[in-house]
Amino acid sequence: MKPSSSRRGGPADARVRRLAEWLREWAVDRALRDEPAGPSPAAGESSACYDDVPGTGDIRVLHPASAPSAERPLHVALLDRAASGAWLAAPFSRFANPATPGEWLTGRRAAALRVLCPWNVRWMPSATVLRSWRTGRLTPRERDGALRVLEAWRRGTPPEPAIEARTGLPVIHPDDPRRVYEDEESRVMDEAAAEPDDRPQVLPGPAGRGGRVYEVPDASWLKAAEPEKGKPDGDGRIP
Amino acid sequence: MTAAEPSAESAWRQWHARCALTLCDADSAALLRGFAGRRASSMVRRLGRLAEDIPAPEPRDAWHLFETHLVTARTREGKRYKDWLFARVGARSGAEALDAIQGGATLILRDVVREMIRHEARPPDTSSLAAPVPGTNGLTLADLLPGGTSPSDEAEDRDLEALARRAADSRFAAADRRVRVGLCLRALDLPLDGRATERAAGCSKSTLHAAVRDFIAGLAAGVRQTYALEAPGTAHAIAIRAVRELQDLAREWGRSEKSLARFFHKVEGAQSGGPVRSPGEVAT
Repeated sequence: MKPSSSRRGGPADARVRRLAEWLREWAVDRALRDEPAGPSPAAGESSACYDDVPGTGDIRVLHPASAPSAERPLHVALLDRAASGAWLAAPFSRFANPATPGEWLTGRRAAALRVLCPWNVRWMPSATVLRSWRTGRLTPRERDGALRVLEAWRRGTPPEPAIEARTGLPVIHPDDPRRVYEDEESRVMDEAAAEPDDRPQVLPGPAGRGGRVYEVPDASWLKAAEPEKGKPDGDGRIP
Repeated sequence: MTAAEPSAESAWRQWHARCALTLCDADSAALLRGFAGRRASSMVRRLGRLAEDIPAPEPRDAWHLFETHLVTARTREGKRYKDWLFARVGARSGAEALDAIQGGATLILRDVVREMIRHEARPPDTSSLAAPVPGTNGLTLADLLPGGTSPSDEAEDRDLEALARRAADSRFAAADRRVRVGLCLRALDLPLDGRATERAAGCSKSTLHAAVRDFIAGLAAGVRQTYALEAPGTAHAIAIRAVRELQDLAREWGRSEKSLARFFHKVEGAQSGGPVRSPGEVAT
């Protein structure tokens, strides 16, 4: 068999440049890791107030105790919802360039929302999503693009050229630093998507009265995530 | 500190309450700008040559970058990073609360400094692919670029699929239960963390992570060895397909495992067609 060469000129050059830029971002990031950053976020108790209902397409920032090893405000996009109430959440990268074909330049200017990482999606418990803050919404076009990148990633094939041009290049070398990055980010999302049954739960008080801490069983959280009978949820869909 | 000077914690809380530093008392504002300036300077010094002689930002600029870096919109919703920052405190008070706030602010400042270097430094030189990549043991950009994995026709693609299926079948047959559980959960886009997962796999999350990683690495190494003499990119193309096949096998296996039923239940009914995850990338 003779696989054809794909080290192309032209459009691939932008992806090579982005890989070079990503590698420098990574090197700087690693060099700053030792800067003292204080204690881990407090788990379990909080005076935070979450005053919105999550919906498909939401961009949300997770509570720090949901993903303490993220070492950043972890922004995720909610791409889908299962009948169980779990949300399919894709994280955003902290870097300005996509690392791999599973990462996609959204075209947004906000530093936290420039690169979406559908390769790292997880089904996230509704309790974790309820304990987060909405910070924006994907446009239908963005959500469609994210799902296309995810689908191509799952199949192991390139997406359509217009989308592929905004993704990263594949990892082929065993010592490529992106392997370490993928491993770290995968752990972060595993942590964020784990059932929070080991943690005390927090319910916000009524608007303007945050601060009360309640212990509630998981089942109640799941119930709280359900739309009222006959009413559509945040994205206008009745699950 | 005199009685009239604010404590650092009260300065941070004042900023949180008043939304912008320009609305804070002069002393509080100076204190917070000083914090951002000192931390940013320390980080730039730490970077050494990576900073390419770019000077550390003045305190006023460092604070401005800190305050605007994570803003996603002009609305209150667009400044939720502040909620994240103060939620780190929880029930702590005093010095511990201050450490939690300033620790979070330092994490954000790391990203701020990295972004500043990205803007200010010369663009990476991609004219020479032979230049070493910083932070690797002598790897060059050329080493990291794909050499070609596109099969030229359908028949060739079918060949690769058949070889991948054969590799996946033999590896999966030899996989132990915890690896099968791990692969199944990955195929479902579920985390490998959590007590239910540990019970299903019969091991700790660390062991499960390592077992799955080692299994995939072993598959890639086996494929690389078997197809070492083929054209560049062939082994990589087979390995990618083999991992996808493995996850299909693991998912099918998992469907008949009673102990995994709760995981399948969790992801049913999604609009996007349900999870059919493959890792996509396998280093060969």
